[in-house]
Amino acid sequence: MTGKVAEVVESSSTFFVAQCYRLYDAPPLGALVRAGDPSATLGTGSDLIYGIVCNVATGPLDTGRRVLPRGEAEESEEDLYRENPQLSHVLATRFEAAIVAHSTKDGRGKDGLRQGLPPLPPHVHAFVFPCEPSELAQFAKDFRFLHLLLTAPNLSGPAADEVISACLRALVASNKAQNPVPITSGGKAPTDERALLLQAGRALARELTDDAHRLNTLLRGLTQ
Amino acid sequence: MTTNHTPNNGTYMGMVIGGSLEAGVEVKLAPTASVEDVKVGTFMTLAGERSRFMGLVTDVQLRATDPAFAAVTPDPDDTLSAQVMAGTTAYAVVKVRPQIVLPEIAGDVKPGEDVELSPAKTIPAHFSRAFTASETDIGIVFGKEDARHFYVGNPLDLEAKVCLDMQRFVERSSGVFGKSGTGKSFLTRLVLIGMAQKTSAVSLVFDMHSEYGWSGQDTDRSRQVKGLKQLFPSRVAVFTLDEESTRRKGITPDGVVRIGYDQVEPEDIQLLAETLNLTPNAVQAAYRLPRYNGWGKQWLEKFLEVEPPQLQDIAIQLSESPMTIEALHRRLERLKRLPFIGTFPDEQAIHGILDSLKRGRHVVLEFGRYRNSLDAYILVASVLTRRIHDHWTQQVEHAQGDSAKEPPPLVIVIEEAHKFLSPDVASQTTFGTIARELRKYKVTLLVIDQRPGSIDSEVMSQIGTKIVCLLDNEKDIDAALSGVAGARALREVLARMESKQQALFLGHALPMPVVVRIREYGSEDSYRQLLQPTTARRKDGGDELFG
Repeated sequence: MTGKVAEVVESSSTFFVAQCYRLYDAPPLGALVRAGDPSATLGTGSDLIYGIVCNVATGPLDTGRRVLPRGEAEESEEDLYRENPQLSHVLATRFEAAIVAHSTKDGRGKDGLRQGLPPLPPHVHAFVFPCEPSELAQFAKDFRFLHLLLTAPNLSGPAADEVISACLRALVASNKAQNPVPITSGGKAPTDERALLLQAGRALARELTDDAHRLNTLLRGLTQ
Repeated sequence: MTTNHTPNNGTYMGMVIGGSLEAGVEVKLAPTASVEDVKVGTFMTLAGERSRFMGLVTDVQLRATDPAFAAVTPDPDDTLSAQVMAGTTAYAVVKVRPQIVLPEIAGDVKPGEDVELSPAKTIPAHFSRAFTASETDIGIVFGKEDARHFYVGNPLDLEAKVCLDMQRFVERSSGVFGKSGTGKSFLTRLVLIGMAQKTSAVSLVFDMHSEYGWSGQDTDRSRQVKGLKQLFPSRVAVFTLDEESTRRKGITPDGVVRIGYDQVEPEDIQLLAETLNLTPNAVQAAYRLPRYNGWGKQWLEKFLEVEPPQLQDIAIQLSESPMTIEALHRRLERLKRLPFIGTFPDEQAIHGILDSLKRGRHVVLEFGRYRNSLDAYILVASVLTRRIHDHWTQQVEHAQGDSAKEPPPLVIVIEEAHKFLSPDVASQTTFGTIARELRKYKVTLLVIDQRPGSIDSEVMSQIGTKIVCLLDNEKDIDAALSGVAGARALREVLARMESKQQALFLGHALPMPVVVRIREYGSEDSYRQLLQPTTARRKDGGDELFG
């Protein structure tokens, strides 16, 4: 299982902010992440909350202090970081994730992954993990989350469309790598890339019945 | 939505999204269904909450959720976008007219079983699922080939059978309409065979072009096809006006028809007004002639013998203008040229025909070389029909409801029907009377015409079963579909039929309108199939409840 990469530092019903353990080690834009550790003892911690990375930012830990340029005398960026080892302690990479799904810890067997907002947001200090391929496959069985993404309050403008495209591309790519899909329960999991793209596209089209322009942009983004 | 009704193996096509009973419901096609698979004139079933409806596809439309989709089109190479949008934001809508309600538990009924089919009086709710009609569904609705149902062809795109209820078919007047060359004679021949096979009705066919009696022409395949006499030798009598031409074909006619002058009445002259180019005044004068000089029934013979000077006298006596009488005389002289009209002491031919009909034999009257003489056709049909109708009326009245004494139902088949049933004459001739009085006296019409628009609308509204081949004149289409619920939708169906071997069947003898690919006729195989299942004819339909 992939190790944890970040920790929730701010949490609300629709999104959470996580700070990465290592500078610049954030999941890519549009990636599906999970707050909560399924292997932790039952009854401790929060439910598993899934979010889609929609904004990655790196800046000073102490927002009162401005970052100064330091590399005038350095040959390369790498040299700069090597010469200033304190940087990785005074700078931090944070990312925002729009919450799109959740499941109870034992839910993988019972309710499975349920798209939609959880009753409660993740705890602060919950560990954040990149999702397993099996989770991605399960997630890709349903595209209701697109509605949440399209209307997420902290996600608007061109960035929103990019996040959605990136997310769908990632799901398709993961599906391709996993082919055939291990989770065949329900018999609906599309096994072929084109079919999944179509399914995703149609889900988008259903959401954007009155916005031809945006739908076109998103669809173009799907195949690029 | 859940429903208990099995779709009976039809393919899922989409969902009901709106509409009305009058205009038909709208079905939004699912992304999985291709609009090109849906054809106007085919059938769909709609699975409502409690009932399953069967309807006719009457229109297909393309729509978009947002008008902008028309402007912001995907790249031609971007197949994904096109595929995604097809069926979601840009979708097809099919108009379906619910016609009948299928039996409750569809799965339990097999084609050919007797089932209750009621006309649709409501429509399925929003989001009811729509399926293509399966062979089984069509079979349940049309597919009973039994003692009274006659197989006429198949619906578009399906192999199921469409059968006509011949018992109901002969209960009312019926019509075969279509432009020339669309297969009217072909269809009529088939219907006559069905009538001979499945009913106790007899037909009297005024066979203008000698197509039904012994043999007919299949002009598309340029071959001879068998007529009624060859298929049912004992049940068909062939009479002729032109003995020579009939004998040339190697058949001995059952009788040669001669018309005596005394059988012609002014009413017949009225029918001839158009072909003889008579003015309304001249027609009126003809009605008065029998009163002149006590001529009575001999009026035509006497009038034609009159020398021109006497015409003046007639004009004065009848207070008509001499010009009118002269014109009438001049034009009626044309009748003298028809050798089958003359002074004949006996009425052998008419008795022969009556006798055959009463014994349950179908009578085909061939016109031989008079095939292009419209006056001959109109005159003979008019004179014979009046005599036979009178006889039938007397018989029925005489029987006083005793069905054993009643004559068999009679169907009179006329071509160029608008000549007999135009609005000018329909109210005054026997044909109009027959069309209007329905089956009271057990006589009905089967009219064959290429100009239904020229037939009196009152008569058209009395026609029970209509078989409509391709028509393109607006007026004719209107007339053919008059009195039909949802005629506007059917227009679309009619306009898109192929010009050959397809016909729209609608009316009394079918549960719902249907476009039919006409069954094959003319090959040895087809004759065998036609004659093979000759089920016992039944004297009565059994559902004479409303008779």
